[in-house]
Order: sequence, then structure tokens, then C-alpha cells
Amino acid sequence: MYFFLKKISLFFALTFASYFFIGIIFEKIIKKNLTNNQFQFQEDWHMKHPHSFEFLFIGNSRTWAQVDIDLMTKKQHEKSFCLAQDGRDSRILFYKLKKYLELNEHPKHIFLQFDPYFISENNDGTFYGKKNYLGYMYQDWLGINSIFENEIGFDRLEVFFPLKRYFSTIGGIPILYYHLTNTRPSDYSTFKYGSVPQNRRWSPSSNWSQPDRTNCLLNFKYIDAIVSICKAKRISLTLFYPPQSFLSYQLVDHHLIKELSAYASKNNLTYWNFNAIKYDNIQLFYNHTHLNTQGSNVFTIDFLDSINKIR
Amino acid sequence: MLFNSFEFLLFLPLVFILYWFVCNKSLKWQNALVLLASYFFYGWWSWMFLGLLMLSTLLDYTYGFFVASPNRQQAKLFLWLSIINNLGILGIFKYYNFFATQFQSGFEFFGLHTNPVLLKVALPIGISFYTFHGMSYVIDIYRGHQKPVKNIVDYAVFVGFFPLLVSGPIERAKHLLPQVQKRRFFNYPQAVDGCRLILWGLFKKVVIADTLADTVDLIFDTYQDQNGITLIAGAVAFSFQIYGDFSGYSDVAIGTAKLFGFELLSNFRFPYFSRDLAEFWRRWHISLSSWFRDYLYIPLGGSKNGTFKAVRNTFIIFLVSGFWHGANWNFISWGFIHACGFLPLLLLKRNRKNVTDVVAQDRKLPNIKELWQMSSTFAFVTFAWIFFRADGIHLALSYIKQIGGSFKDQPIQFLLLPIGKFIYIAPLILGDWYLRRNERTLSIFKSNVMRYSFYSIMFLIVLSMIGVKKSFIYFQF
Repeated sequence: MYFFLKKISLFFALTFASYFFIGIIFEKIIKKNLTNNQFQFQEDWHMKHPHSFEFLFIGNSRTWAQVDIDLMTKKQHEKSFCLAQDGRDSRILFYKLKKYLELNEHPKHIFLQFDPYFISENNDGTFYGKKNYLGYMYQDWLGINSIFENEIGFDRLEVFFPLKRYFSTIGGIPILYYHLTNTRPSDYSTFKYGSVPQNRRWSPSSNWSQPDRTNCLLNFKYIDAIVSICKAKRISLTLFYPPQSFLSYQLVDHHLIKELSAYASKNNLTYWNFNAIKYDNIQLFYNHTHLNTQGSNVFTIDFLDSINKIR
Repeated sequence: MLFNSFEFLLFLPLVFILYWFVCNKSLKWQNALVLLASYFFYGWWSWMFLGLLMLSTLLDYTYGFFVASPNRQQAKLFLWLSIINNLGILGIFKYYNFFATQFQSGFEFFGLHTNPVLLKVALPIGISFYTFHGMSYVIDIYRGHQKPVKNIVDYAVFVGFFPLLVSGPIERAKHLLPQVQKRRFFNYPQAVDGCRLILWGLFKKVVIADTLADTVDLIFDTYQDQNGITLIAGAVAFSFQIYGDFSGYSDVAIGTAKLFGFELLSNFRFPYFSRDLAEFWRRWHISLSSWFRDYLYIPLGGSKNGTFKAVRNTFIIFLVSGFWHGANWNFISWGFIHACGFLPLLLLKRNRKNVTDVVAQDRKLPNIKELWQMSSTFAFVTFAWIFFRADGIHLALSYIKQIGGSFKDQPIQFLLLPIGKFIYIAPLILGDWYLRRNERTLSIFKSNVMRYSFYSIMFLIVLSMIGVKKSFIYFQF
């Protein structure tokens, strides 16, 4: 019995110690590589080389996948950039905007997604968990790790065993490799101004055929912060509510729509709600809250028309 | 409490130390601690349903004495009372809503509108397992295979022993009760074996099954957007997910029991290396298959009373087995498909082939014939799993129809996605192949350094991936 306990204690002690020390060494290498700013992820590429864009579109996947930036730039003759990220809310995008403005020339105009999916409280905690956090956010360019640590499932063990963060998903292993070797995946080398719209068709599977009622608490704290930044830096700001399927839009609680309009009026901001009967056509979507390629084309042109009216 | 949770990582060593250092002086104390720990383990999930477990235990314990009566008529009456009681508990919590909605649909077909009262309670975890423990105990007493247990604590440990309480293996009184009634002494090789099994079981669950679960969920939820190859990959991934999940649970259960000096029944013996469907059912969820064989198939006459009765009994046992898994038509259809697959073997009297040996018993690799037999059995089983996994028969049929659908207009990432995840299946297949001659010997390397490094790496991978807790599939049954 004592022999068993001795052996098993030794096993755990050696295992944890080696895990801890390897983790510390890896962290040191990674931190050194990060200081050199030589590795970038997806849409954060703009932090590598300063750029100037006239139009900046901010939001989550409903902006990222729905505003066709190539089409926008081509038709508008203004360089546009989509500062958006899947599954994120106004809080994280506020931090990203701050960093963007530090490193890049200020845009002339910011178009900010303004719907319950982007400004609801704790959106990040409910929609996206730790798995998605890793790929997008581990780099911690913005120093926001601490915001998320207690909110989306990082457990305390990861504080002592940093390697644990990487191995929680299959994606963690190549990410660790890229961090350690200071390399990056080949498909990340092409700079993108925005996403490629999803070439997917409507899929009325059991999950999507009936949309859920949207009812949540809105948190304007970070919208207020973005508004303040824009005012301070004299950037014109427009709020927009991207389209969703008409069926799901009807299930958004009425008080939320009213609250959004009231906020825009109170702050004297232009606010466009793109939800109209034309988005009753389900073939424009691939699910209730995301347009497909065809829909994104319709919406981008719709958006352009609105922009032209105010120019 | 889940095996793949940090609570369990604290619970297990604590109970282990109390068991061997504080309560090791007498059998009474050992069993009292095991019972207390088991009820705590179950109560961690729901204290309310712990009462149901206690009630069920008390009733079967009492029935045991009446069924042992020399008056056979009285014994038979109490046997039936016990069966009705156990099936009643199961029926109310697991099947009531299903039957109520089915009757409602039936009445509506004839134009009669009914509004049945539906139960809005969660299914008590492990109910299908502990009621089967109780039934087997009472039936064995009736048959004279078992004597009623006098000490209620001993009986309660048999029913509620925490490693097997919520997902089996379904134990038999004559196998487990003698172990409960005998003082356990610490056995070093047994404890080491237990640790290895726990590690391998957690690896199968946390690393293999849970990783595959994301792919499987994605493919099954969006099957209408996927091409044929991806859908086939989804079904194959589910085959390994459910195997990794459930056999992983069984390994942890058996390993944990070993730490406390108990030997539980085997539940899986490398089912995906089966050369025909009959062999598959001797290797998959063995404790349930043998339970149905002993308490349903054989009492119905088995295959002894002519072809018609053999066929009838085969269908009954597979349909009941499907229904045991859940109150849904897709589980019943899963059982029906297996019955249809088993039928040719039964009629050609080939269902008793491959009973004793394992594939490639004396060789390192299988031959072409064995490879073909294993692949075709696996393909059939995987096909049936689609019905098991889908949320209904119509969705399973749509899924299968979509497999033969268009391969055009599919983004390449949807094809690459499942292929990337398939690297997780490799250790499961290789591990199983290596262990197939003796499933409980996990010692791979002779060198101490190599062996402990291997265990360390496995443990760290498990620890790294254990953060996102996913329940075991068989908890719902």
C-alpha cells in the first residue's frame, strides 16, 4: 500500500513538475517571439504594418460575413476594412478599435454594427467559449486576457500550466508549433480586408427551421466608449443593424428595437436598420442571422446606396 | 459527478485513502464507506433522485426474502411484483412521456383530440442500470442461483457501488455480491492495473470521444449542407465517438473498482474487430447483451424451439435492447436493423462462429478475409449508428439519402475538417489492436522510464483536454 502510494505520488510529482517547467520554457520563447511582432493571426494583420482606410466596418460575424468588403471598395472607390470578428461583442471590438487607432491612420468613417447580437451582455460568454478564444485571442495583443479568464471557462490550472491552453483543441497543437518556431500558416500570409461571404445555401435543418426569440439585456457601455472615441478623434460614426431573416427579426423583442432607436436619437447618431421586407427571401441566407454570398451582395449594394445618400 | 471532472479527481483519492487507511480494519467499515461514498457520488448530481435509488434498493432487498420462500406460488407472486415495481419505476421516468405522446398521436389519427399530462422531470441518471441490477438479483433468487442477502448495506453496495452506478457495467449478484461480502485487502498489481485502466478510459473519453463529438455534432446538425464523403465520415466518427465514450466510461469504472479491491464484469472486448454481427454483440456492451440473453432471450425459449420462435425471440431481444436505450423510435429502429442483420446468421446457423478466439489470434496482422469481414461488420454497425444518433427516423433517412446526393458546390474545408479529426481515431484502433488478446493488460513498455514517460504524456494530454466537461452518452440511458 505504502509502496503504491509512494510510486503514484512520485509519478504525479514528476509529471506535474515536467509539465510546469516545459510550460515555463515555452512561454518564454513565445513571449520573446511575440515581442518581435513577427506572428499574426487572421484579421489582426493590420497591426503588423500601418495602413490607412477611409471606411471601417466594426461588428461580429454579422458584419464580418455579410459586408462584402471587396465589392464595397470597388464600388465606393474608398479603401474599406472590416474590423470584425466572429462571435465577439462590442466589448472586445472596443479594445480592438483602440489598438487599431493607435497603430493606423484614423478612418474617415466608422460603421458600427448596432444590434442585440453585438451589444447584448455577456455575448462572448454565451455564444463562444474557450475553444474559439484560443485561436483568435491567445496572442493577447490587446492585453485583454484578464477580461476573459474568469468569464469563458479558463480554469485555474491554466494559470500554473500554460501549456494546457494549447492542448484543449486540435487547433492548439499547430498554434503552439507556430508560436515556438515563429512561423505562420501559409494561408495567413495573404492580407484580407474582410471575409469572403459564405457560399452556402439555406439549410432548413431542425436547428434552423424555427428561430428562437431574441430577448436579452443590452449593454451600451462599450458603444458609449466607441462613440466617445469617435467624437474625440472627429471620426464620423454611423450605426447599422444588419439584416437577418424576416422570420427571426419578427421574434426580436420589440423593446430592444425601440431601445436601439432611442439610443441613436439620444446621441444624435445616424442609425440604419436594414431589416426590410426584401430580406423575407430565405434564399439570401444560410441561417437566420447570416446572409450567404447572394444575400451579402444584395446587402452590400443596399449599404452602398445608404452611404451615397449621406455623402 | 462525472469521471472526467475535477471533482472526481479530488473525490477518488480521498475515498481511496479513507478506505485503505481508516476503514480497512473490518468489512463493515469498508462497505459502509463505499456506500456513503456512492450515495455522495450520486447525490452530487441530484439528492432528490438519491431517494429513488434508496427506495428501489429497499424494495428489491425486501422482495428478495419473499421470493426465496419455499412456497413457489408466493415466490412467483413476489417475483412479478418486483419486476412490475422495477419496470414501473423505469416506465414512469423513462417511458411515460413517450407512450403518452404516442397514444395522443394514435387518437388524433382517428380524429380524437386528447391532451395527456406529461411529466416534466429529468430522467434520473443510471435508472436503467440500477433497476436492472435489482431485477437480476430477485430473478436469480427465484431461480435458486442466489440466496437473499441479510445485510442491507451489502445489498445497497451491490446496487449502488459508485463506479458502476450510473452507466454500468450491469453487474450480477452472483459475481459482485461475494466480493462485497468478503473483506478486501490491498493488492498492488490490481491497483496498478486499475490506474492504467482509468488512464486509458479517460484518454478514450476525453481525448478521442469528446474531440470527435464536435465533428459529429457539426456534421449531423448541418447534414443537408454536407456532401456524401463528409456524411460517411460523420457516421464513422460517431461509431468511434460512442465507442470511445462508453468503453472509456467502462474502463474507468472497472479501473476504479480495482482500486477498491473489486473485479467488475467486462463490458467491451474490441467490438470493431468483430468478424460478424453475432461476434459484435458478444463484444459490445457485454453486460447488457448477456443480461437480455439470460433474463429475456433464454426464458422466451432462445433458439431451441424451432426457427419461427428463434426468429421471433431475436427480434424481441433486439427491439427491447433498442427501446432500453431510449424512448424514441430511432432507438427501436436501430434495434430492428441489428435484428435484420443478425437474421441471416441465425438462419444459416453461423451465429456461433468466432466465439472463443479474437481476430488474428496468433498473428500481428489480419489476413484479407478477416479484414473484409471486419470492414463489412463495421460498415453495417456504422450504418445502424446513423439511426441511433439522428434525432428521429426521418432525419436518419434524410441523412442516408443525402449521402448519395450531390458532391458539387461543397467548400473544400468541409471535406478537410473531418479528415483532420480522424487522427484521433488512430490511437484508439492501434491501442485496441495491441490489447486485443488481453484487454486489461495495458503495460506496453518494459523499460520503467519509457513506460512512465508514456503514462505521463497520456495523463498530461487528458489533463489538458479535460477542461470542457462533456457528459457521457450513456448517462441518458
